[in-house]
Amino acid sequence: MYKSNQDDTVVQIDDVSFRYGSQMVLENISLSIKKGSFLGLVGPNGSGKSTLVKILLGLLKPTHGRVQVFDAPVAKFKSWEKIGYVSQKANSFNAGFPVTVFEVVSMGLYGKVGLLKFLSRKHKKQIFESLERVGMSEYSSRNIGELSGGQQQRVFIARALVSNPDLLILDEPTVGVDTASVQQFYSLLSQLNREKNITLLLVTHDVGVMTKYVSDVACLNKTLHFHGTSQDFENSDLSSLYGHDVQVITHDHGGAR
Amino acid sequence: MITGVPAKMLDVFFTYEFLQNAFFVGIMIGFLAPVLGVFIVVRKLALITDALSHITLTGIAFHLFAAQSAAWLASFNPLYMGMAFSVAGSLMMEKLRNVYSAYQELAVPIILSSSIGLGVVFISLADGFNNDLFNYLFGSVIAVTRNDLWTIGIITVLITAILIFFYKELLFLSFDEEQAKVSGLPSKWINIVFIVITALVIASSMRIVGIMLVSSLMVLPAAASIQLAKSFKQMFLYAVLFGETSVVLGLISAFYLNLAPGGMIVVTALLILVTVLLYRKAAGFAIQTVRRTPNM
Repeated sequence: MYKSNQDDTVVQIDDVSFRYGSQMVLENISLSIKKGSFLGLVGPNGSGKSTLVKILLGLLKPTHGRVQVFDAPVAKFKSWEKIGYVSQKANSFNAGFPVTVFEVVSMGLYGKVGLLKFLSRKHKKQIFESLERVGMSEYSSRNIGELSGGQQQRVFIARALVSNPDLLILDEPTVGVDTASVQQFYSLLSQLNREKNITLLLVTHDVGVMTKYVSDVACLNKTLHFHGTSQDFENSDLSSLYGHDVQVITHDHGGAR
Repeated sequence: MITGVPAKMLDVFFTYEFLQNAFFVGIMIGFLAPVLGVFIVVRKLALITDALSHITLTGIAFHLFAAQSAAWLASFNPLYMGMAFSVAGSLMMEKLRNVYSAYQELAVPIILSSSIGLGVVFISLADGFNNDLFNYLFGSVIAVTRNDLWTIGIITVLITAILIFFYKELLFLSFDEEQAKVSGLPSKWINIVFIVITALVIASSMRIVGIMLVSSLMVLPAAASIQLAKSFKQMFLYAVLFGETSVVLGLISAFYLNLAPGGMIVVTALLILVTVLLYRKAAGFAIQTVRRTPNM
């Protein structure tokens, strides 16, 4: 069945289940991401969102089911430069690492440049262009650890964008980023989606602001509870349910930090 | 008198081949060890150097023991056996890191303690602790042969080439292993290459600084460098500068004061580190680094 839609389907997840030991984390997930869409994948903490992303990226193998990325099964997929990935960097990377913003963004090209080859002048230009796109070009020679959480997140977006990906996956990109920057950040994403026609997958537990920017919403909590347009989502009961649930979690987070 | 001292040293240097050997090997080690040390420090793997240096000793002890019963072995450089053990140990460690994926740090003490145990057995089999072995433990300038010089020279060229060609992959893996995998880098192979060259550098370094001190020549210059470097390239610049300074000043001071060269090299590296830390503290930056790291 999923052969018929090849042209406009970027990701096709078919009946995927995953378990850690005896614990079922994901159960019978089927989900497709259409080219040019902006999908918000929401769910409370521990709902299996990150696990699903890792399966999508080939970092974890599903216990059951299959995943198709750009017309290839994920295990055989080779054109990783087509996918930009931003993980929960704002609170997980080693900020003491002696590396400049330029060097961080250049990493996004390493897979494309290939083994035993060096960055060319053209690549360096691409790095600056990517930094410009996120408004961080004047910081290129700064140490990454000296920047604020929001600025770091922009640098990681620049790294994900530098290889001109068709699909951008962001896993909880706004954790540890202040509210004002979050707004800016989302409008940057929707701009990329509209102007560059980049397909976006945004994983978050923060439903609130997100629904204004995305085109589609999928709700995950071990199983897939909802998948439809953001309009349908806002009209459904789930919106308030998830929204409420999530607010509590967000506040807990704030208190702990 | 003052002009006489350097002249005497140069005289002696050109007279005795072993001093030349030691000096040139020292220069190569002063480059290699800190460069590898940069990757090791940023990857938080500093203890690996200790494990690998101890297994190198096990290899050398095995050579000394085996050479007693197999005369043909005696004509070989014990360094080769040390390198073989070190490389084998590094591969085992990488394997163990996968076996204990949730307890990766366990790989280091397993290799470290078992290699010491095995080493002690070989040492006692080789009729106890002789002078040779002592030289390997703490380094000896006199013990460096022409053969060592060539071996280490080839290794230096080889590893420098590998580091240049895999620089970007090693940087990416060090900074963010998961992201590197997603970008399609062959992380498994690069990790194996990395640990094997680390093993080779450790085995090469111990002629001069000795097994007990190898890790300090890798870690101390990089530790000082991370206090100053803004970029990853600067990390290497400072680390090599500090490493070479330590080797050269250490060897010269050991010559004049008639002290252990390996020890003097490490003491010099330590003095550099302390100076850098004091400088940072004076500049008010050290505090910032301390705050930055646990914060994340």
